[in-house]
Amino acid sequence: MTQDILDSQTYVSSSSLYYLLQELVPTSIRVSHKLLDSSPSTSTSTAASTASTTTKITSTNTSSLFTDKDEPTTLDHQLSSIPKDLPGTVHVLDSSLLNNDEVTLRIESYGYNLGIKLAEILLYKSNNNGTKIVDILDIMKFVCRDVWKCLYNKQMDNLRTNHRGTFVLVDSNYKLISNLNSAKGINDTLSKSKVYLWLPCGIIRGILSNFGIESNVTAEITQFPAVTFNIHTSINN
Amino acid sequence: MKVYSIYILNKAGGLIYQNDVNPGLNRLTANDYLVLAGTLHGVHAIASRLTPALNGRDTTNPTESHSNKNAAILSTGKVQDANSNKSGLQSIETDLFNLYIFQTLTGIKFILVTSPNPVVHNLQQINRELTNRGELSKQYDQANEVFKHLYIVYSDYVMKDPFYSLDMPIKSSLFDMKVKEII
Amino acid sequence: MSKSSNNRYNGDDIWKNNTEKINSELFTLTYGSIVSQLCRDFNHNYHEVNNQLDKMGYNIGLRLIEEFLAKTGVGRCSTFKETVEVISKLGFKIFLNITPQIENWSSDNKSCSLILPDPNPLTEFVELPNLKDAEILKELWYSQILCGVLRGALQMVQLDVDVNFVKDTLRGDDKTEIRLKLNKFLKDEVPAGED
Repeated sequence: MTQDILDSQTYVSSSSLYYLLQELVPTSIRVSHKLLDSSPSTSTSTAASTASTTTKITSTNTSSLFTDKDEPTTLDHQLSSIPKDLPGTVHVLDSSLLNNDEVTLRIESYGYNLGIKLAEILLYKSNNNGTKIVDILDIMKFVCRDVWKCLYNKQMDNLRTNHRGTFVLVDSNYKLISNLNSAKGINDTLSKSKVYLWLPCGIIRGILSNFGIESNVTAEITQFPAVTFNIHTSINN
Repeated sequence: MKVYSIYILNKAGGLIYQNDVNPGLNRLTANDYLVLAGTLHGVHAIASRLTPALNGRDTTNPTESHSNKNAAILSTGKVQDANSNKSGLQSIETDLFNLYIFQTLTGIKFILVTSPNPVVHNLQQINRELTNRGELSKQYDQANEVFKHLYIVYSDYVMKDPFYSLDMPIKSSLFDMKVKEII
Repeated sequence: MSKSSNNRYNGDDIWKNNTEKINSELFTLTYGSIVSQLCRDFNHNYHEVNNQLDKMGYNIGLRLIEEFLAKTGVGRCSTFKETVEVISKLGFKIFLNITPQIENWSSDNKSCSLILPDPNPLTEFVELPNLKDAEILKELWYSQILCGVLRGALQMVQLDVDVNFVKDTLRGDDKTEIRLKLNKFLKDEVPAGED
């Protein structure tokens, strides 16, 4: 099932992807909250947990708070035990977990898994176009050009390197955060936007890892919505 | 037609957005704007109860006309007017300003305050009654065109802001900018 | 808004002219990455995964409905039959570029099934790792997010509807089927002035 699927171009609305990505951060917070909540140390009992105290003894860190049935979401039911976390609201982002490692690692790994797979597909396609990738600079160019084009329909605006394995990639209008706008003002927007950047960091790390390159990727907002990605590798170029 | 102000009300009639895009109106106190919003919301609702049913000016059944509209979208794929404000207060016309109300199926109201209808000179007034009417509906159509774009911008820049909580006040410079672009 | 040509069917025109598009593989991979991470996070408790996907979808639906209405101009449907037709031929078409079949109406016209084409933009390339984990075939609804989206979007236009999967080809079923059931039309919440 390889060739014809990859060749047949199908499209979906870009809104669909955007809505999906929009829910990534809240979901990560909810998942982390749930996992931390269910670990035995912090057993502040909610209504759900009281019913399952008996099974708790045997469980090691898992599933004591986990449901065993599907529950459809409704308008007036909390999405998690985070205060005021109701559908349509954004209180979940005020959770202290926002910049917790649990959450950021999770978001990063969404990106990482996506990056690995994306690299394969894009490589397959660009090989057909005759693009050659021989050294790490080519790989970075591949990220700036092909990957960014596929993800955001634009290229990176700047690529720099110190020739000792460190690369700096600049996107002067990073699409995923350009829409963010907190009612509490720009400082709140900036502090909450940071967590959204772990996704592209993960994507870049995933792509590089597909080429066998271990890296460390961080991002900072230089002048909203411009974003600078710092990539550290151990490869001298 | 010059647009003075744009307001957005949530389903409960709360004022969640206000943008005085062009000078021309006197300013009210913050509280008065809330009262204005609530009052328009209320009058809009009462007006819809006042509207004569079925045997009024139009013989077409309203739900039926909706269905025809949907059938038209389904068969032609063409975008239709998203305004679901059929029997509520639609516009207020005064000598100094006009006000238009647009309502979405989800219950959000967009309100425009604009310059008044163009003045028709006395002498020709009677003779020109027909053209005059054309002029009126032209302004109404223009307002509707603005509403259509406003709603799209709202759905693109307010709904797609992950930091925006539904039904709460909209404070977004990006949205402000996009609104200005429409006007 | 845009100059549209004549004689197109079923939201094709809106899809062609007014929708910014992306490669569906990117969408598929992103969704896949989310589902697999959730499975790991919840230690393969698939009910939790379903519920989390459902929540994501519900939140999406609450917001997506405005874009849908703004960009199509759909009005209040007079029957649930019409609603489902609009969902299939406009909703699914505009956002996912597919048009599910509508089947299996109940005699009271309050419930029916949407049959998703196979593969659909969420499930392309996907195969569940059923050898390692037999539970996954019985418990995971891979595309559960769609149910959340539909339920959330319909809630905003005052329709209380049950939406859930009953079959999925990923589980080895003969088709992928979403069941919709209209519970009630929330008349009291309909905004004044519609008719």
